[in-house]
Amino acid sequence: MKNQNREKYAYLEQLTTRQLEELLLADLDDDSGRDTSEVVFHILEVLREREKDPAQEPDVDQAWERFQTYYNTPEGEGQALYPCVQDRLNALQEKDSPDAKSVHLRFRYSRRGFSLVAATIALLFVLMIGVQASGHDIFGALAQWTSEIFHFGSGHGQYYEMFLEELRKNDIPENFIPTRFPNKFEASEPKVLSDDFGTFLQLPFYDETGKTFSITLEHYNSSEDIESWIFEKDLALVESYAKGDMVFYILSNVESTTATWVHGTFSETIWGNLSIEEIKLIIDSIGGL
Amino acid sequence: MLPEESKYLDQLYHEHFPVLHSYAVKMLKLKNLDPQSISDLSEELIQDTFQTAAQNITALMSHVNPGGYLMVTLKNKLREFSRQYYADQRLIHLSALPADLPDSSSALDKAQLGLEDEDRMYRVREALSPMNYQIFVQVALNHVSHYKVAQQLGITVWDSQKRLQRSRQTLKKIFGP
Repeated sequence: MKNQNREKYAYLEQLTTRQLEELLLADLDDDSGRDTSEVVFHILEVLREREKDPAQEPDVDQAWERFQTYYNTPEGEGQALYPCVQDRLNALQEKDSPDAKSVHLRFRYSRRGFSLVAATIALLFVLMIGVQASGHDIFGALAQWTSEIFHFGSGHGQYYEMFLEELRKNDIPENFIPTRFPNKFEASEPKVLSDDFGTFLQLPFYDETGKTFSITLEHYNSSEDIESWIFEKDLALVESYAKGDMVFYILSNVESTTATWVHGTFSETIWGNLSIEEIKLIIDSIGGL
Repeated sequence: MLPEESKYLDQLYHEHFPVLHSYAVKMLKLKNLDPQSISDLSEELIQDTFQTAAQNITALMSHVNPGGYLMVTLKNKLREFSRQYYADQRLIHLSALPADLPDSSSALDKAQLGLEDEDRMYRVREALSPMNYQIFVQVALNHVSHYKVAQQLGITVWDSQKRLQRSRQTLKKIFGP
């Protein structure tokens, strides 16, 4: 059973620590009383594997002694330090209770500025628990979706390192560029061009089928040179998408998607045969996850 | 509690305490609690979880998913902890406002008229007995566990909890809207 569950929740290992923590916070916010313990336990397991801090292991025997001596006493009968609504506590006691099967969703998008990716995952997480209770295999569907979307890697070899070196030489901050890309693409030799307007650096990627995308950083001598061309495109504007203070404008047509960010004398463009979701995940990795 | 119920609770406690502890510590960290408070508070939240479990032990023994029950209970305790924290902060803020401030004053005026922290607590101190004030400051503001405060003051955990409840009711009567 444990091994089956490991496979069932293998997709959790592909999420970053931050994403897993956001899921835990979103789950805590969901006060519908649904039992999400199975998934929460697996998230904790993944986080514990990553953190591996034996100093944090509690002394359970001593805690049990304290419980028996100071908490579970006649004086504590009917008392609670943090009293909760009893019907919520008892809802899980009855398998067939309406609460156990309810898909009533009271998920609140946090106050804390979720990234769209994190919010999407959290929303799916809450939804799938309710639907799973009615017998649909949402975990299988999520694993497939996760496998397609989150198959991203961070090691991109010598050409990525060459690109970083060119950024340094041209005083372009390294934290302007993404750190993770779809694994099916391989980086190719970066291109560098300097002219009267400024410096242009591009890192192209190709996959086995000939599909391509590129990351382009431009450092202009003057911000006036940017405005003359950056939005002369015949693509449909889809939306804006932010990573911290960097707001990218995403434009798309059938063949390609472009995301562009402009700030002062810098501009960055991610362009190519990518889906909007893939571009957003690349943007999310800017400056490291 | 019957012997078999006690044995069951013991089993449940030893089986689930580590993962519940891991969860409580993680959530209190994510809530940016003072690191020094996390260890004590996380244990106290779990002790309270098992206290609730003990009071529902008969039903729990036939529960389909006792681990799930404990996790839901702990989450409810965490939410209640957060709710109490914000309610206490609000009480302190209200206590700092001049008693004769007209109701028509704007929220900004009220905030600007708020006193410094030391003065802010003056009225709270005046409203409570010395022991209740100490418990209020330690538990509600400094996030010290009832267990630790009880040890310091030579009282029981439940006495500490009752005194804190009474203090909140007193402060709400005096300073509440």
